[in-house]
Amino acid sequence: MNKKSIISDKRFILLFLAVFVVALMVYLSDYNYTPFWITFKLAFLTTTILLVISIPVSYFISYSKSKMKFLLESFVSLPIVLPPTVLGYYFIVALGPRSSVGRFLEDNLGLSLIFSFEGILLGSIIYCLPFMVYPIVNGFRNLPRSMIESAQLLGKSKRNILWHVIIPNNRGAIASGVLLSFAHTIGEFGVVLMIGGNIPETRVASIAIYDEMNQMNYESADHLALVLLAFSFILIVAIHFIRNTKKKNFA
Amino acid sequence: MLKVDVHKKFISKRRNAEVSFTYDFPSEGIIGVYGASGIGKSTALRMIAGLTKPDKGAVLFNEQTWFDHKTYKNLAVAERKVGYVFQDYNLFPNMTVHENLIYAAPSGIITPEISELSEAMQLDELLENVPEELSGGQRQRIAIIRSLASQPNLLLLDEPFSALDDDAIENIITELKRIKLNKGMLTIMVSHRRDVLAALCDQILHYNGQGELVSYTPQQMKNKGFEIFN
Repeated sequence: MNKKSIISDKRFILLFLAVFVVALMVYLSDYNYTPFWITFKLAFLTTTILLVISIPVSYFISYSKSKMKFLLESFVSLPIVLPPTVLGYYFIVALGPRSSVGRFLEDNLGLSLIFSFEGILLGSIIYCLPFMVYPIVNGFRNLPRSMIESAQLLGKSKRNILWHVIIPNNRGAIASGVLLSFAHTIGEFGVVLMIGGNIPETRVASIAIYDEMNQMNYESADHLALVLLAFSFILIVAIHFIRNTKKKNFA
Repeated sequence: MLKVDVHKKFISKRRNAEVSFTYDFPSEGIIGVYGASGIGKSTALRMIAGLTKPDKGAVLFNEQTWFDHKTYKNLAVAERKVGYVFQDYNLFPNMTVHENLIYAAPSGIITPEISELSEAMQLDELLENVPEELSGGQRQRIAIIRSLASQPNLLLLDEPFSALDDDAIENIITELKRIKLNKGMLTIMVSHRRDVLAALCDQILHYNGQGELVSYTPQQMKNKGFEIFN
């Protein structure tokens, strides 16, 4: 891999400029942009928290010799096949006001996870977990084993090897996971609707489009959908651009 | 002194194999291990370094037990302080040559000795390059210097020249002879190239994979050519 990071690539910066322009379009338009603000806040926080969680989870899945790791892999993969309504239902059952955990959180921290931004954030994190973890796991597994052995032979600790060898040589995989999680959160509908309901505090762009459609405000729905389409398309282009960037040369 | 007595079985559906390696190495010098491809030379080296765990046996280095199946002792790879040069270099692609050397050096300090070595091996001009910009010969020179920069107790070279052409091998061997690679340290080099071993080693062991090792001097090898291995 070239010593230049992916972030320093000019084409990559152009893609992000395009995303910025779309965001600016939304900001300057006459339409109510609150759903976009909530969507981006949700996507940004989900991605950031997922990144912190996914690095150790991916490391464990990639390198652990534990025979039980298939259980963790299965848990991480579950949202890929699970209908959002099922996840939302169990979320409400486990963390809703009638559950002991929900009551505990409400009584002691004043935190309600149903019909709140915190709730849809937690739901998004669980639902997007495989979209962040698996690109990173694939990257970690593709790193030659002998490269990690080289670092071990130089007397380096596991943590040191993770920070200085594994992560820097997987910037592409990590960037891919970040963009995929961000894009997936932007397009989220079912989980947000189940956990957050349809109230202004949790109304993300995809739900706002659904709302405008139901109220036959086609012009407004049109505008919201176009921005979401443009934004999602740019993110997907960025993901494929990273994947097609020339293969790393593991010298 | 390095005492090695390691055994490992590899069982698969298609083929079962067993690697046994027993030898008491001297405390210094360059010892070559010769044998046919796939016979288990590299596995033996990996078992010494701790990269592959033996099924049974023991590895003792200067009275320190690195592995003993009877006492379940298995010292971590990072604690053995073994310099290891792989066939495919394994330089870190995210680091420049200089950063590779700094990463290897204890406390990140490159000793004057290592600076002299890198100068002697004409690596000074390459310090700011990343590995993918270098030739195979240059990468292997850096891999050797990097393993020495870590100030190892023992140096293991696993088929270090098999990916290189003859000119590159000749240049590196000339340089290694000039810098006196071992400097009072034990170096074990595994290769299937008899000429390379004869040129660099003080002693050569012929290994047949079943633990039987026959020792030859480089002169014996040169005099008798290929016959001694028949």
